[in-house]
Amino acid sequence: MKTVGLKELHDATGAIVRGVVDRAEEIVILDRGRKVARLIPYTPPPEPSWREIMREVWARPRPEETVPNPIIAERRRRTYVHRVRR
Amino acid sequence: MSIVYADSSVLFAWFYLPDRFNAVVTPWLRNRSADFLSNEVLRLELRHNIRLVRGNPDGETAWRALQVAERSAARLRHDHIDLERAFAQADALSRRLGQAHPCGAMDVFHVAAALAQEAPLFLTCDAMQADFARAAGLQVQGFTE
Repeated sequence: MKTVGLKELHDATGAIVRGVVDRAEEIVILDRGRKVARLIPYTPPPEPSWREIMREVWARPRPEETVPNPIIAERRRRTYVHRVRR
Repeated sequence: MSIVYADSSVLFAWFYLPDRFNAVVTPWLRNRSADFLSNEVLRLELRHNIRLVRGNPDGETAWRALQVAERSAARLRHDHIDLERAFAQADALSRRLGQAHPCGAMDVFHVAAALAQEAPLFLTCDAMQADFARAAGLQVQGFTE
């Protein structure tokens, strides 16, 4: 595996990073000969589905008693025109 | 289903099971696998209101789900909009439509943000905001209890 020292990385960061991306390779970074980090191409993290995100919420039973939507309630309290026109 | 701009009233109802609109919002959104646009103001309103209900198990569950959703770039797509420009656009909409379609300043902001973020569909649980959004030229899906 290709390695690069901290000084070389500092002196040629752009070229080294572009090389990693273009060749889809991994480079190990050395600090005084000791392996300290890896430089790898970025890959986006896997996106969870709404089913995964909401798993806990949807597993709960919907309460029989509902509560008013607080955002609408707050708007109505603040909106003078709502009180005078409706 | 493409991405939609869901007003904070809809997003709160989506995450918080006891909300009065949850029973209508959830099946509608699940059927369409909708993803949501977000911005700084929407995120603050949603976080703030879910924080306020964290004292009960449904609120805590909603908070955890929101945390996961916020880490996803696709499900809750957060755009850094130009707030000064969005507020200026909201002010222009208020001037043009406010008398005929009265609603609150934050309602108007969300309509302006949806236009700025080029939302193909605007969702709200607020009938007055829905009227305003239609008048502003947005495609609107309103929810009633």
